[in-house]
Amino acid sequence: MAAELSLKVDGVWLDRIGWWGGVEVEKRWPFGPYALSWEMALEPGDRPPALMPKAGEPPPLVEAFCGSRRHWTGRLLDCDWATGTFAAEGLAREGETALAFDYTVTDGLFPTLDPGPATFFANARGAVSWGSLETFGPITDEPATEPNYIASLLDAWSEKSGRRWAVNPDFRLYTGTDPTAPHYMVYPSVADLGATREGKVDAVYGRFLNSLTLKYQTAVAGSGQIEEIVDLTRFNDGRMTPAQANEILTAYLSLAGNAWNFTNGLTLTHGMVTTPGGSVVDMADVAAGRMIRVYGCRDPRNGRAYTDFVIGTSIWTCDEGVVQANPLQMVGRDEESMLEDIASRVLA
Amino acid sequence: MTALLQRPEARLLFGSAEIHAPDPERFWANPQGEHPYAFVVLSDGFTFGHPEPEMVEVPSQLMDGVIVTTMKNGNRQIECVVEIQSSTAEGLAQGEQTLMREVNRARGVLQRNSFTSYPAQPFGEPTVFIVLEADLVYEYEDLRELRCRRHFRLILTCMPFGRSAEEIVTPAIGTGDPTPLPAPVETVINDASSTAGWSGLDATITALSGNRVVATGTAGATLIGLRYTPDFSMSSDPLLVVNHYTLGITTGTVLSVQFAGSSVAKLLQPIAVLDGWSYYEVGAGSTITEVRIVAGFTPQSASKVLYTRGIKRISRMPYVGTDRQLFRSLRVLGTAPAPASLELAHSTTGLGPTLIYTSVEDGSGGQPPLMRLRTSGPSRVPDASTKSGAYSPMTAATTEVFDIPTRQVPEGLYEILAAARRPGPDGRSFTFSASTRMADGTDRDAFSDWRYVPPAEFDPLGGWAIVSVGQVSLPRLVTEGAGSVRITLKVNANTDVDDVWLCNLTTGHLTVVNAGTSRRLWLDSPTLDRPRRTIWLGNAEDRSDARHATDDEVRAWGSHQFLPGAVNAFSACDAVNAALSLRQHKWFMHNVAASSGDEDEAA
Repeated sequence: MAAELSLKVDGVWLDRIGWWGGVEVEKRWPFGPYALSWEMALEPGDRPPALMPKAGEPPPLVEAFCGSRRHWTGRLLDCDWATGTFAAEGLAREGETALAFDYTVTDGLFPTLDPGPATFFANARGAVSWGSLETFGPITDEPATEPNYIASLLDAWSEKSGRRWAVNPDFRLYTGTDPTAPHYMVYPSVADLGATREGKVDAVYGRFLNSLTLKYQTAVAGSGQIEEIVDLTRFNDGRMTPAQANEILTAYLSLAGNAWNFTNGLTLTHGMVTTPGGSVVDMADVAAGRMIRVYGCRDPRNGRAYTDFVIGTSIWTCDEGVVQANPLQMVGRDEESMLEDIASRVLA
Repeated sequence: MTALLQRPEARLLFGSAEIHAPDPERFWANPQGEHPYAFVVLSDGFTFGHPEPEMVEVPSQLMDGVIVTTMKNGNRQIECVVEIQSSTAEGLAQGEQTLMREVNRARGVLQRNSFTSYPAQPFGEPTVFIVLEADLVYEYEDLRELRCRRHFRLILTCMPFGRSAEEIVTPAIGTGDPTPLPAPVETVINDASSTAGWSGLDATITALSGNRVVATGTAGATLIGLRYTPDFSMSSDPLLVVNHYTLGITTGTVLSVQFAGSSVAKLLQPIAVLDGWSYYEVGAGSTITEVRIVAGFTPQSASKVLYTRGIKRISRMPYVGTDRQLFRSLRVLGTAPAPASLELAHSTTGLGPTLIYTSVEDGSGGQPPLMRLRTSGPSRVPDASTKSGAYSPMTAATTEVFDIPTRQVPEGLYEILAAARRPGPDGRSFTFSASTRMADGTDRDAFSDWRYVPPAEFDPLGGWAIVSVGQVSLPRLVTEGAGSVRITLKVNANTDVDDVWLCNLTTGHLTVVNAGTSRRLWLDSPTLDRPRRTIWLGNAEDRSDARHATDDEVRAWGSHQFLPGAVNAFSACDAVNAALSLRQHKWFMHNVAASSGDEDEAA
C-alpha cells in the first residue's frame, strides 16, 4: 500500500513510450531531490526521442508525479540502452555546473558571493532551471575575485548561516534549519543504530586575511580534543573581518555537530512509520529533511531511551515499498558510503 | 485412459478447434464428413491449473504469526491430453495439423489464443482463458498408432483468470447523461416522530421533540441498540439512508439489515455520510424486515445514548453542490480483478478540467469535496456555473477551515486539490495546515506546509483550474470515533476557490486531465493488447474519433484498479450530470457465473 509515482521525461509521460518500473527515488537534506533511476523494456535499437539528448538544449527534464504534484524533479544523467536502465540527478545538482555571476549593464557579468543574484542570473542564462524564494546577502563584504560554482557558494553560505539549502521539485531554491521536533515515529525494535566518534568535531580553526589590518590571523570556535581546520580561503580568498570569520566557524561547528555520528540508517517498510499521532505514513511521504524518532532504540550517542535523527538521505525503492533512511550525521560503514566519503575528501 | 464425460453441453475449444466434442459418435457415423478425424480430451492428466498468489510479508509487531498480503497472481497452466481419432493415418496427420495451427496462433509476443470451457451442465456460461503460449508434446505409442489413435499433451500458459465471452457495460449507480439525471427522490420510511415500530436492544426508548427516537442504555450491558422491525420494500431505490448518532460513545456504530427470506442479518458499511445521514447500498427490489443499529462499548453507564432521526430510501446518491461533481458507486462484476475502461461522458458539453478519483469501497463514508464540511471562511458567492454552487473570494487575510470526521479519513497520504481562479496572471502560494481537532475543541498534532502554484498550472487561463495545494499524511492523530481532521487553507493573494478536494493517494487513485472541449474521457486499464494504462479523449460513443490525451493535458495519472465488488468513483468536470460507466469482461477466479453476484449479496 503506497501512493504511486508516474514519470514524465522531457514533457512526455513514460506510459506513452513503453513499460517502465523499478523506480528508485533518492532525496537528500540538504539538496532536495538528488537521484532517481528507473528501468524500461525497449525493443533493441529503439531510441525514444524523449530520452535522447538534444543538441543545444539542456538534458531532458525528469519529473516524478505523485498524484498531481511533482514528487521529484531533475535532469537525465545516464541512459544504459543495453539494460534499459536510466538515471537522473536532482535539480539541486545543476548548481554544481553553474557559475555565480552578478550582472549590471555597465559591468556585464562579474563574480558574486551573493547566492541571490547568482541564482537569478544563472536561471536567466539557463544554467539552472530554478529560481529563489529567499534573499541571501553576500558571504563577505569584500567583492569576489574569482567566480565560484553556485552549489559551492550555497554550501559556503550554509556554513556561514547555519541554514541548509535545497531545491524543491517545483523549481524553487529554499533554505531551512534542521528540524528539532520529530515528524515520524518508528516502532520499537526495528533496528539498532551504531555510533562512531569519527566525524565528531570539538573545535574548528580557520586562517583568514583580516580585511581591516591586512594580516593573516587564526580564528577559532568551540573547544575540545578533536580539532579541525576549515578552509576560509574559499570565501573570497580569505579576506574578511574577524567577526565574519568567527561567524563562519561557529555556523560550521553547529552544522558539523559536536556529537558522535551514526554508522547506519534504518530500512523501513509500510506500517513501520507513523505520524507522532500514530497514523501510518505512506512510504512516499518519508523523505530527507524530516526528523525520525525511534522508540526502543537507545540513543547510541547519549543513552537516551529513544533516538531522534534528521534524515539526511532517503532512498525509496518503489516496487518493494522500502525506504532506506540514513541519518544526516552518518558515517557509513558500507562500501558505497565509504567510496562516496573518500571521493568527497579527494574533491575537497 | 478414459475420455472426459461426454454430454451435449460439455465442450472444450482451443482457439476455434473443438478438442472435446459433445458427440464423437457423430464423427464415426460419417468419417468422410467435414473432417477426417475427431478429438477427445482424456480425463487423466487434465488440469485447469491454478494461478499462484504472489504473497509478501507485511512487517508488524505481532508476537506470533506473520501478516501476508497477495500482491498479484501468477499465470495459470492448463494441461490436457488430446486424443485424435481417425480411420486413416492421413486423418490423424490432419488432426495434428489443426492442433498445431492453434498452437502457432499463441506463439510470439503479440500472439494470443483462447481456451474455452463449456460447463457439463446446462444453463452455464462458457469460461474463456487467454492463452499466452502453447506447446504440443507427442506421446507416441505403437499400439495406439495401429489403432489409428494419436495422443498429444497440450500445455497452455494462460492469464490467471477466466473471463466471460462477452464484454459488458455497467453504468455507475446514480449515473445520468445521456438520459437526464433525475433529482434524487427520497421516500421516508420512518420519520422517528414516535417510538412506533422501534424497540430497544439493552436500552429503553423514548421519542423526543424534533423527530428523534433515543435509546438510553441499561446499566450492566455492553451494547446499546435500536431496532426497526416493520417490513418495508426498497421498491426501485438502491440506497437505504439512516440517521444515527451517539452521545458518550466513541467506538462507533454498526448497522445491519435483515432481508426477507434470509436467515442471517447483513452488516452494511456506509458508502457516504452527508449531513449526519449514512447512505447504504442494499439494492432495489429487496424487502427488509429489520434494521438494527448497534453501538458497543464498555463499561455501561446511563449517560450513553443512541439517537436516530429516521429511515429513508433514495433513488440515487445526492450530490454535493451542482451536478458538475458527482460521487458514485461502481459495481465491478466477477470474482477477480478486471482490466476495465472507465468512461466519463456528456452528450453536449465539453468536460473541461476533469478530476476522477476512485477507491475501493471501505465503509469510511468519506467523499473528496470539503466545502460541505466548511466551518468558517469568507462569505460564499453563489454561482450556478461552479461545481459546488458558490465560490469563496479568498484574500491574503481570509482562511478557509474544514472539519472532517476522523472516521471518514482512513490513514494515508492525501493530496489537497482546489478548483481555483485568480484575477491576474501571477501564480499563487497556498499555505495549509492539518491537525486533529479533539472532541473538547483543542487542536493536536498540527502540521503545516505551503506550495507555490505557478501560473502554468492555472489552466485554462482565467477560468476555473484544478490545482494541487499540497500533500499531507492524515489523520495527524488517530482517534477512536470522536474528533475530526481540521484542514485550514490560506492564499497569498486574491483567489476564488470553488471547492476543495481531499483525495487519499495511498488507498485510491487520482487522475486529473484537462479534457477541454472533448465530451468523452476514457481511462483504460492495461490489457494484453496494450499493456500500459491509457487516457483517451473524444466525442463519438464508439470511440471512432478518440485520441490519446497529450502530455500537457494530463496532470495526474492514476492506475485505477477495479476489484470485484463496489468501487467508489468521484468525478468533477465542467459538464452537468456527466455519465460514468465501466466497460469490462467479467473476470472470475475459475468459472464464469452468468449472474452479476449482486443478487447473492442482496439476498
